[in-house]
Amino acid sequence: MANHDFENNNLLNDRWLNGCLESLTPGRSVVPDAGKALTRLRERNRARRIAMRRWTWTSAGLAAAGIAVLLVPNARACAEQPGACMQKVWKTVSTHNGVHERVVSQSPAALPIASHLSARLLPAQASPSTFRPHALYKEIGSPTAPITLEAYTDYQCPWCAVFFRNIVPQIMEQYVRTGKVKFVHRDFPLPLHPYARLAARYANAAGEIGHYELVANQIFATQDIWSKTGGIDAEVTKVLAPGDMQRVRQLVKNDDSLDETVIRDVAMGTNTDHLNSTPTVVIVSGDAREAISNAATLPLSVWQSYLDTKLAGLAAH
Amino acid sequence: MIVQNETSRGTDLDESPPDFETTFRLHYPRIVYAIARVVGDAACAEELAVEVFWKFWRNPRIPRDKAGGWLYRTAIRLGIHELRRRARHARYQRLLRLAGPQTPEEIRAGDEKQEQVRRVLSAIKPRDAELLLLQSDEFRYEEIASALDLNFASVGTLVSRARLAFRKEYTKLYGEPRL
Repeated sequence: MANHDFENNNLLNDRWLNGCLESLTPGRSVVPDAGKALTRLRERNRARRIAMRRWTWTSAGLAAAGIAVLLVPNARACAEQPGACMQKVWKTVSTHNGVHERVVSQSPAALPIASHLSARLLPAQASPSTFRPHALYKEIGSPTAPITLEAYTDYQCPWCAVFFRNIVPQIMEQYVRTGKVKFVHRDFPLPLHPYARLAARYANAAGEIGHYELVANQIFATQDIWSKTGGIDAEVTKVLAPGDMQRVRQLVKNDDSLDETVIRDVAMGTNTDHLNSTPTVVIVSGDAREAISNAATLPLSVWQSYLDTKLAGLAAH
Repeated sequence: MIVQNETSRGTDLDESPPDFETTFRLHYPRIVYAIARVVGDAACAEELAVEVFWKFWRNPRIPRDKAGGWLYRTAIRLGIHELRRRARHARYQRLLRLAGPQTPEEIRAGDEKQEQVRRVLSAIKPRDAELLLLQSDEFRYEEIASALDLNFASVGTLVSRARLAFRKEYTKLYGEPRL
């Protein structure tokens, strides 16, 4: 009997609950308009696309701004950093526990001047013939000189200009013209300098017609002017005859081999001499290669004393 | 209730509309009715139905053969969320004394059976409310299990518990019902 009451109660409860839920059935006022809803969905999709496009452009703009922010301090650092234009080089080093870590190269400016003279001695990694630059006009001096100075420079690097203005003429006069030293100019345009490669093309084009030294010196001398606008042509025009200038322009415009010499120099600086800044001078005597970074910060007297000692040592040997 | 082997859903309404549009036209009226049943407001139901289809359109992971179940479940869920949102809003208004004295219209509406049922549905667990609404829409147990991702064997038990929860909440709010 009690069981019957319980079942009866359950049935009543179910009926009551079903009645509750059925009372929710909407009246005839609900007339779904699928067409209108579909139009709303399409409009929503269009709005989303526009928003997506805006977002993409905004992101791209922000990314570009970010890159600019990253590059501008680098460019400024060139002028502010004492002695060199740095190129950040990521190197993989092995730690004591065998884990490979990526470290950024340190600024050579932090090294004392004296340490430049005990610069890292690089073992000869290739035969001397490999060290010859692609273009012979970059070599100045006697081919039989016991010492070769290989100067890696970037035409837009302010410290390279200082080096070429203050040190190179004296070394040319005292050591290169006297047959004691051979001077080799190597191009090492850094990515943070937008006009460095173009300047190298002009200098190399002038080299093809026999005016390398003249034009290279002019490009360095007028660096402050053209480095703002890239107007290298106007500055080179000042030192070349119109006919020569026309030929240089043709070469700059059409000669792909001008870049090859730059590419070879950069490969040489990166792979053999492990450069991370300009100006860097590599002193080659026999099979030994000594790289001296921050070359512009060394006074002429230090260069003279160093070269004299080196030459005396080689003569005694 | 669930339409099996439904047409597949397109990813872009403008580029490959037939799939989505067919599904849309097939289910839209049912979805609007289902939501209107829960929220009791035709305009709001259409609004929420558009929301349901927007989610469906933007979500490529929804299985094509379960579009009906997914749409219905989402519709009921959004309806219940709307009910709960309204209940919460009313509670906050009371707490902040923003609402003035109840109008006779409001008092009458509160006494109506529909309003009472909605209030109870918004108070119980959303899963219980979904179960009750789907069952009252004559969904079979296997269809409920499919729509709510439940084990078929446990649907009966869950429905019984949901009924008890409903009754308990109703008694709490309005006293013992007259059976």
